[in-house]
Amino acid sequence: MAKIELLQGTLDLLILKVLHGGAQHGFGIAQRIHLLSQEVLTVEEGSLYPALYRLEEKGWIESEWGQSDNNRRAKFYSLTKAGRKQLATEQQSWDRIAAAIAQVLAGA
Amino acid sequence: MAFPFQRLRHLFRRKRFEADMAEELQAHLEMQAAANRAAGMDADEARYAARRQFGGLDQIKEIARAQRAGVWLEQLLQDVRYATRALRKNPGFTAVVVLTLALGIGLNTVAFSFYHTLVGKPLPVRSPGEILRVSADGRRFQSPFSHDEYVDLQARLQSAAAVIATSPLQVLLTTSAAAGGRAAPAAVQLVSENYFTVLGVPAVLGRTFDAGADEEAVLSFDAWQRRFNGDRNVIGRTVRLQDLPVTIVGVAPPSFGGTTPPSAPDFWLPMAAQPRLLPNVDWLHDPATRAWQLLVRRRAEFTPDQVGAEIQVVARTWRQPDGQPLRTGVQTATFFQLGGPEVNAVFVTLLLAVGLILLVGGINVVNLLFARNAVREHELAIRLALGASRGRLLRQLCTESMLLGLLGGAGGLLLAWWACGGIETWQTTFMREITRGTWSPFLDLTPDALVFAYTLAIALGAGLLVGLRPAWHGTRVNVEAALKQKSSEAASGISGRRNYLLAVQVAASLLLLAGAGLLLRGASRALTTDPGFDAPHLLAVVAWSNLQTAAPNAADQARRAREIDARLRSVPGVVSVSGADRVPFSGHSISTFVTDENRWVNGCVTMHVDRDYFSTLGLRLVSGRPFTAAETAQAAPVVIITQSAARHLWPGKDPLGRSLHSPQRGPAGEPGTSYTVIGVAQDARFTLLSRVDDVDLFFPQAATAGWMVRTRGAPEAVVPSIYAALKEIDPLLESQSAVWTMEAGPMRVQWLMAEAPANIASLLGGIALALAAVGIFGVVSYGVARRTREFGIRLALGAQKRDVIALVLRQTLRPVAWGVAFGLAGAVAVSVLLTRLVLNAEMPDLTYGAGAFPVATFAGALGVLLAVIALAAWLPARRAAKVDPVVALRAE
Repeated sequence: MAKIELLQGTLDLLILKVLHGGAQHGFGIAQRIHLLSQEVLTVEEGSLYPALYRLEEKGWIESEWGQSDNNRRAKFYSLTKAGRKQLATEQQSWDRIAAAIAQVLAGA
Repeated sequence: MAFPFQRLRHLFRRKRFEADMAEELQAHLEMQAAANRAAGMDADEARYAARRQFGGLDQIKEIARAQRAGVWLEQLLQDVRYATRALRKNPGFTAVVVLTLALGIGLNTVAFSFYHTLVGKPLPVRSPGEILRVSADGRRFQSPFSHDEYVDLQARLQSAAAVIATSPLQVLLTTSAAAGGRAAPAAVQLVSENYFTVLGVPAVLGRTFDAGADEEAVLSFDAWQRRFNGDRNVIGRTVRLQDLPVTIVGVAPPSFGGTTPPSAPDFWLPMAAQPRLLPNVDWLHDPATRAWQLLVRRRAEFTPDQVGAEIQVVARTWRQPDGQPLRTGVQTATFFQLGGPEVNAVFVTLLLAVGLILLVGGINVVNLLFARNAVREHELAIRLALGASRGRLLRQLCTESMLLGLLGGAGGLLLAWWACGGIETWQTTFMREITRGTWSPFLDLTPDALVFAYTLAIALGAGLLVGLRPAWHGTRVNVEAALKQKSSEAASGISGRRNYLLAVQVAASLLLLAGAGLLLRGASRALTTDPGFDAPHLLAVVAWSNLQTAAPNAADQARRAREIDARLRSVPGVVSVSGADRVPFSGHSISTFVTDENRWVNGCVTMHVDRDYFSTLGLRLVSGRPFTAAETAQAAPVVIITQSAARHLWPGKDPLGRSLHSPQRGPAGEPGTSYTVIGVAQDARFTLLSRVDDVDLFFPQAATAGWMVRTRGAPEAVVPSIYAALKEIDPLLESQSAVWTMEAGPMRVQWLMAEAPANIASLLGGIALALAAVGIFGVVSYGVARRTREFGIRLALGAQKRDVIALVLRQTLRPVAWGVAFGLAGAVAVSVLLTRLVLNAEMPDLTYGAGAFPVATFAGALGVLLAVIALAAWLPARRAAKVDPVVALRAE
């Protein structure tokens, strides 16, 4: 399948949504996005980690070292309260934009 | 979210962050490999697949790093480290650039220090913005008040925290106990007791005045060094001032020179000492004596205007001697209390001139940077290939040039500090010499915070500006070609831009040289200008620097004056003596008059002289008659005018018999006096050597405290006899008087006023020319070095050496021509501006009437410029012709 380019903001939204379901490490986040999108979306590490660090700087997620499934030390990310609010805001605006685009495509 | 803290924390925890990131990515890698194994790949393949999918680990790390806050600070430190290393590796290049920038920046710092000191420098006291000077006539801020008025103001002024009073400086006799009983003049200022406390100036040794003290004295730092050799035992010592014993209780700090610049006193005494110090006059109780200059410290919540308004209200009950009410004014006190459009014009010109020098030097630095970046092409190409962004490279190159700028700024500060020290010393010795040791102005040019900030700003700005274009061009490297080590034309700079820079240098140098030429011409004309009177044989005698200390009342003063007058006439070698209230070129007074045709004329220069004035000065009366003795004794309402005044007041008519009316009312309210014109004198220069005044008026008056003396031979020989004669009348008189020869005194100052700007301009012009010449030399040499192969081919094909040289020189011809054109245009503009400035009566005409288009001067400047430039271009061009074709063709 040809590579679909995701906008930076969209990736942020997906990461926040995934973390809403529970704390996760970087690899896990990429896996879940891949699975939840029926293997359509593949997040490259070169986009994932910068996005994670950016979200951490903005204070929407926080990180903590923990043990992964195969007993490997990994960094786990989780949503903060501000992150939860941001998720709601971004999801709302995404829905509005998507609806608007759909209308234009249907009507024009 | 403590973001600022986060940024700083990141800086310190960088290692931990790097380790964390590495571990996190490694963990991800392993999990991916595990997933691949679970999907069926074998161990090795799984790992490789994971690595491949990951992409460039370091690239990811780099992008991730950039997401962290505060990373710009890290990158800046990194850039600075690289830059320092790069500069250290090229010490020759660094030295040349830093020296060039230091010269330009240093000159700018000196010019700004002057401007800041003379115009804006605050008094070296606590909270100087709160100190205001009060004037009694709204104009002059040395105009004095009486003691009663001072007390009144102190009691009633609400918007001020305190009022202090100071007397004008005097020159008094001292018998210093330290100097072995020898008498020497000293400058003493009487001040109110709260002077030092209100100003917030602590004593650096000992203490300041105690309440109620009247025999204490505070020494100035300069006097402490000069007269007492910095002896720490000076506290408690007694000196005799004017026969009054005073005890030295303290020494003022070195930066404090009093509040009446530019002079600084040697001693401060409390007001209460006045009656014993000067027994003939009463400054403390006589309501008609105005001897005190006032300063107020306003309360912080009031503006100066508000304080000024309140002072005017309080002053409504005060009266001038002629019965008029006072019109007070206030102004925030600065160190020199200079200002106004003329002063600003001078400084703007100076700052522009030194700015031009920085420009010329800066262009040299730009060329050097271009050349250097051409050499670093390979390094830059590799960095670009490895993934560095152009922006990052640009930032790093600019950091290098800004670092050079900072180093240049540091060097410039050193240069400025040295130059300012030299200027301070020079002007101190010069002024002491001219005024016979009695007057040394207090010029403190040490850089303060504002000057440092200015230098820093210029250094960073210059560094950035010179580095920007070369950096921009350096980062546009053709990576492929550079990696293959092919020399690229682009990075070494397009010749078009080089030429434009060259033209700018030539124009700036020509402008400065032409300006120097104008001023030099003016100075030489000044030296040969005939003032109109017999200057080589004239002396000015000023008895009693402060007339009020001479005799207590007018009758006594008149008697004294007659005595001095008679005695002067009997001194051997004296041909003629005349009383005069003003010495030419040493200050003048102006008034407004109305002609009998009802024309109002402002700016009339007025002088009060006795009947021998014109014969003493050697001025011819072209019509009418001189004053009679009776007219002089009674100050009759007659006036003698000059030819120029006649032309101005009654153009085309005979002025004799006509009258001038003074619009000022008398003390009882009666209308002003009318003066009849009885004579017309030839024109001469009285206020400034460079101009003949529009209207000069001479009124008859018996001599009071000033005389002009004409001698048979050289006036210097007569000076000692005059001092001896004054001493015979009264020993005190001799130490309080001053005798100057016209040429060594006031005229010398006038000449200096013309020479100093000329010398400065010549220095600046010379520096600019030298820098431009060095620049041209460099540019042409570089061009020759680049085209060595081409020259070798041409010579091998049969070209003459002459042709090759001509080829090189032709390249520089066009930019030089453009530069000359613009430079000449600018020079003409400056010349026109100078002549326009002269229309203001207070400004000396620096060109001394040379006019706006002095062709010879401009041609001379152009000639000097072209000669130097031709030499600078010809020397490296010669090398082009010496290329050995065989060697050149082999070199690749």
